[in-house]
Amino acid sequence: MDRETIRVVSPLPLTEEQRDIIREKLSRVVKTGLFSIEEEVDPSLIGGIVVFFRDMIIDCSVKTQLQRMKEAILRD
Amino acid sequence: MIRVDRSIVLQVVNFVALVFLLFRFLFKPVVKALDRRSQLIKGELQKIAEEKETLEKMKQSLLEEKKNLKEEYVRTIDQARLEAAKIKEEIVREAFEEGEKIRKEYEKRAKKEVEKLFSTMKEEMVNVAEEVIKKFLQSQITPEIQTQIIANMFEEAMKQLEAVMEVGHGQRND
Amino acid sequence: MEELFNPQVFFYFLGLPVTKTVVSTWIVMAFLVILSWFITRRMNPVPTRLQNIVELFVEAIINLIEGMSPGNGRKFLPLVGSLALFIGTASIAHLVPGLKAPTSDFNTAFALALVVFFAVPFYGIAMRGVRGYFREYVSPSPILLPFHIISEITRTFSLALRLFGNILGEEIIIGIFFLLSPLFVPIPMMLFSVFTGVIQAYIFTILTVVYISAAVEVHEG
Repeated sequence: MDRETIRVVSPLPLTEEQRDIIREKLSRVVKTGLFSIEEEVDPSLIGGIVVFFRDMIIDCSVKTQLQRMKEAILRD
Repeated sequence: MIRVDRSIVLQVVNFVALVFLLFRFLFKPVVKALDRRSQLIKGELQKIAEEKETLEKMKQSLLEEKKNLKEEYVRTIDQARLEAAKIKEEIVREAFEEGEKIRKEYEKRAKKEVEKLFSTMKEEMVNVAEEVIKKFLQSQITPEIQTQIIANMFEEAMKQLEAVMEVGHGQRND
Repeated sequence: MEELFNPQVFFYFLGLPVTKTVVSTWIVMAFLVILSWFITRRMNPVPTRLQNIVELFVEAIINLIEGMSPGNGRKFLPLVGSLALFIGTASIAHLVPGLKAPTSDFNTAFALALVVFFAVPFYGIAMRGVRGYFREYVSPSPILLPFHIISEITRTFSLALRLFGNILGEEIIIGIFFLLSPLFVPIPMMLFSVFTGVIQAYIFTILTVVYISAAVEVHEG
């Protein structure tokens, strides 16, 4: 089995603690546990993280939250 | 002194002859001429009377015609007046409707403009607010908060992902 | 003077004496007929002056008759008109030198009266019939018949004498004047002569009309 590469984007460089939390959580969905994390820094995210997992984007960024809020406000 | 001789016979014959001669040469032609003249005058008078009658009739018919024309004139004028009033009303109504339409159109457009302005203003305000919030949040973000966000938000996302994957596996296993 | 009463005899025609009166009568007749023929030869619708005078004369005669016997103007016109013209002309014929007024000869006057005398019953019978006319003579009673006849005759004589007397008298007066001043014919007397002639013609004519009118008049009842 090849190791999966999972890209994680965050506004600040990940701390050890944060990395552990992410690894622990991801291992719940990757049953084999064989994966590596590729880290990327993007300050425009403000807070939270964006995970590129297989063909999915798990967006937990404050930027996206704000965007959604803004759209909700402008819609009505 | 007074003597009647046989010349009286000649005188009677003479006078009777004179009566016939005068009848032939005087009375007959004169009476004829008189008759002819009176006939002529009568004829002329009759002609004049007939002409007068004809003229009278003509006058009558002309008067009648004049009357008719006048009536028709009055009738036409009245009709024209009525028609004009109708047309005027129509024009006024059309103009009013046109004006109303234009007014509505402009109202609508103005409303749209105002709405557009409002929405633009709202967007601008939201954009400004977003920028402000973004700046504020960027200044506030710390590794601790980041950790917390990851712990909470990522946890939520993972749970959802897990649920989806569970269903997929179950389906595949069946 | 004798000449005035008993005109000279020129010649005898069929045993009848052609007197100066008869010759004068012929001249007067010729004058009247030729003048009439000349005037009426061409009658214009618009009358000339002569034609106008003739027409006025005819109309006057017709009116005169109509006045007394309405509706008969045309019938009596030839006789009445001829009488008026002839007497009027004949009475002044003596003004022409050499002519004698035919009416101053009792033969002429009596001849005219005789014509009227016969003309009256002629018209009466012509218009009312023999019976209708002679009924007049026995009305209101046959006893009056002789009186009616006498009346007819006497009035004829009176007519003749009246005309003859007047014209002759006037002629005598003018004759006397001629004798007194043969070179100078007094104009007033000539005018007087014309006046008398016209008056006589008028009277004779009127009386004639009266007699004839009475004869043709229809008496009711």
